[in-house]
Amino acid sequence: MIDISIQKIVLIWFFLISITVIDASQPPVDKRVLILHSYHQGYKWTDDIHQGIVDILNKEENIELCIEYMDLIRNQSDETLVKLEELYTIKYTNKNIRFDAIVVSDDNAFNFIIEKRDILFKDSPIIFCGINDFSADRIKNIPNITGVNEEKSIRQTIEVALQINKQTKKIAVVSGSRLTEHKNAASFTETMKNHFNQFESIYLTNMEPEELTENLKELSDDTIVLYLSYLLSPSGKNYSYQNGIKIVTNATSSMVFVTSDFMILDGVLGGCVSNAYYQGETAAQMTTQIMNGRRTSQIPVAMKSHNTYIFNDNVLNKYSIPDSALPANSTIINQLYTRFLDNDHHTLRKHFIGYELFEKHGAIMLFIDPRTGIIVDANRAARDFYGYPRLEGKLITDINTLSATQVALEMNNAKLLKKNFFHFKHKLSNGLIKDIYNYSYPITINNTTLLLSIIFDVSNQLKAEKLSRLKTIIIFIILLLLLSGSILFILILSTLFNQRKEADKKMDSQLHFLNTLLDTIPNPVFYKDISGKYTGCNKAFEAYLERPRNEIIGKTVFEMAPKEIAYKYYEKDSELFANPSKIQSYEWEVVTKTGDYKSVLFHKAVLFDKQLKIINLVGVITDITERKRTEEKLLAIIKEKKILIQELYHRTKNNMQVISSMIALQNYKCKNNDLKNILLDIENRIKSMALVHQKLYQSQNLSKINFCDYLNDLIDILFTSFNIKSNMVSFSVESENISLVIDLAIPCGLICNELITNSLKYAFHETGKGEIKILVKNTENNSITLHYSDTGVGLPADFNYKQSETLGMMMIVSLVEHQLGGKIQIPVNGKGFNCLIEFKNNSYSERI
Amino acid sequence: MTILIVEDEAITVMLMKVIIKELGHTVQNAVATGEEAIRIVDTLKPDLIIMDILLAGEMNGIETAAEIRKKSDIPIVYATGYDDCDVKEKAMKTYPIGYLIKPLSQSDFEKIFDLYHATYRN
Repeated sequence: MIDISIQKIVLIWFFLISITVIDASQPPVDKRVLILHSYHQGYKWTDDIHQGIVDILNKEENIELCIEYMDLIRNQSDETLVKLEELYTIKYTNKNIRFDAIVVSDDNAFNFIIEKRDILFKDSPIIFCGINDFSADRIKNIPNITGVNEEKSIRQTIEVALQINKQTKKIAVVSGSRLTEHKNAASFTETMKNHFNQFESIYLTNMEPEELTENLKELSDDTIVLYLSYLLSPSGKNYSYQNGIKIVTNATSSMVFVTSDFMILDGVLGGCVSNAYYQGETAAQMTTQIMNGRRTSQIPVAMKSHNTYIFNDNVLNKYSIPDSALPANSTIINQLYTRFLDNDHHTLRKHFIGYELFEKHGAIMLFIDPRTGIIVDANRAARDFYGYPRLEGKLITDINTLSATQVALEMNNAKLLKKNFFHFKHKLSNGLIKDIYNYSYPITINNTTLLLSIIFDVSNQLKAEKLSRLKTIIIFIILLLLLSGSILFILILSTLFNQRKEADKKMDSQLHFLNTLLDTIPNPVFYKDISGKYTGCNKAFEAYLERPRNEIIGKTVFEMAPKEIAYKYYEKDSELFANPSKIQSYEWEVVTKTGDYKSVLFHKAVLFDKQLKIINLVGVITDITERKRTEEKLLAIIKEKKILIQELYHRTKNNMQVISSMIALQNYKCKNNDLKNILLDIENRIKSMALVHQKLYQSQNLSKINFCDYLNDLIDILFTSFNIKSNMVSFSVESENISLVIDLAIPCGLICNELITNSLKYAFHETGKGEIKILVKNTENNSITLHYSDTGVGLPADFNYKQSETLGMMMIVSLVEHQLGGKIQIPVNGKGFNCLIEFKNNSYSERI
Repeated sequence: MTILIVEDEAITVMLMKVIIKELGHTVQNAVATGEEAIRIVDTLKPDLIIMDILLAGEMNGIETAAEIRKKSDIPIVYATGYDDCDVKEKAMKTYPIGYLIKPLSQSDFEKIFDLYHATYRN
């Protein structure tokens, strides 16, 4: 018996040991994610993306991260790519390691994975980030892929640069020789052409550093510099991002603007910049959703980059740019922190006479920049109290338990009520929370206003006061018992208790009524506190989000919705808190627990307490998914119709162009000059009609063309056709904004074709020089007048256009009088040729 | 200079050939599809390619140019009826040396050939 028992114990012990051994040797890994970076560790852009990714993915349990840096800025060659493929084959493919998701950063890794996924990592979903100016074409026919677009805000950066430097006449762009850098320079060209064509562009692209420096030195004062990047010279030398920027900022005294936040280094002014951390963070959130079972096809590519305006305070000071010249929502970095804390000397210490008193005083004191919330300096007592060796550079929200919005609201309230006292809860480095009283006063040092906050730790005092109040109540009760006798006391207590019970009952009944009312409303209703946490909702809201109440209350939107959606809620809530008197209404999306996206219309308002302090936010949701779908369908139908009509115009134009090509061919073969002239006239008449169709398919509404644009293009065609140089015959078109429907545009085009042809062929043969003017304007009764003139030889004194037998003149008269129902005058006195035509603009209605 | 024309419209090809001949150059070949252009470009090695955008076959001119770009730097000139920004923007990504709008004239070709000689004189 004893043997059997021992045997049993040993077996059980062995079994337990085995389990322990298995558990210890194989920690459970449910998911595996590959992070593939195009560039190297230490490249700030990549580091920031990486940080954004791991900050999110490290929150997930049981995910193993495999991280690869392709290092292609420093080693870009086909050979590197071949070797990397071999390496990944050995490390992963040959070992049958399968990834549940692959996060790729920047173009090189993106292109590599698109090409090699089927060989190396079959079927793994791809989530990309840092892809410049992404378009859907790039992932057409590629399954299982989504990600984040990186918008380069070139246009916004130039706009803000022009706002800051109003003297600007030229914009110089700096870009290196990498393929991405070529693409960025091409985006600059497009932006300049479309939005800033009145400014001169200077291309400092594809240059060796010496040539670049020389050109930068020669820039005139009215030039601003847009630094896109300089990572590779044409001769193949690589430059770190810091050195690339240094080459530029050392060489020029012009303002330097950038489009990525990590490029805002010494000497760079700033710009509308993209943020690498956001790229990584958003891609990681998408990865988490995929881990949780959502399909990539359900996660749309995040097209918006959330680029922000960031400026460098040092450089703003260098050019004496006031904050008022910057966009309202700009962030200013290096502010005060560097102004007061340079490497060797503490400027604050130099300029604040009582600094020693501040530093050595036993009271906890902080200097705070009121605009940014940065702690500029802290005294010894503060460092001891909070338990940090340095507090300079930290944000006040790092030690305050309130959110940034709440602190801002408190400060704003304080400003309105002119109060300088606050009761806050501050967090120490060891995690303890302390009640503090804060007395803040503005002090101006070296022309900068700072807040001097004196902090009192009142945690013990408040505890003691609470205890003392309790003691007083107990003593009062004992005294009352002794003095009035216990029966009387019990009666009083009973009456008080009954009154309270009645009030509670009333309150309960009111609450029950309100809750029933709320739950009866079919629209989802919710309320949140000032920190953005849900504090309540009705049943419709629970059903809409497919979450029970306990999964909603106490959470923020960031815990329930993807970041790109939650961010807008946060922005809108902040907007409402800043302007609380109005009901806010906007359209956006809601994501249910199962990942369905629904289109909704929000109505939100805030609630105040008796002191008019904001305490809550209430929101009502109306589902507009069906309406949106119908809108989308209608838009698709309209788009289809537009494409169809465009195609029709395009094909008509193409056919006319083939006809004109046939006539041109015939002309090349023809030897007879008279016949050649006739063929050329016919060819130009067809071209003038084809041009109407071309302008129609390019027009916004597909039914009208801008007549001034048309005339300018027609003149170009005819000048080319008759081989006329613009320095010999000049032309000008003055026109009000006149649009014509096709039925008027075709005859008007033909009339102008005949008039211009007539001038070019016959008017200037004496000197070869002259001038053509066309003036088109609206007149009374919805009419249009067209005044055509040239400075040529003019008409014979006995010319009568009504009896003219030339085909051109007959066509003009017939088109004006018959087709347009208008009037024509061709006076023969005076110099040159003059023709005045008037017709109604409403003789044909719009067809589309 | 030897030229490859990628254009599906026969009459337009005829006109181009006449103009190009008039200007003293040779049209090596003219094809109507992008696929055919890609197939022959390696062996033909023309000095210049004139590319229409709307072509016969599965590929359009921009896709064809993008494919050619992957393996060759032969200068490409678009000659098309499309004059809208979206199409031009896509075309620019293939780094063409010119973009001509139809109808084409002799002076259009003169300008392109001048540009070609200025850029590729060496």
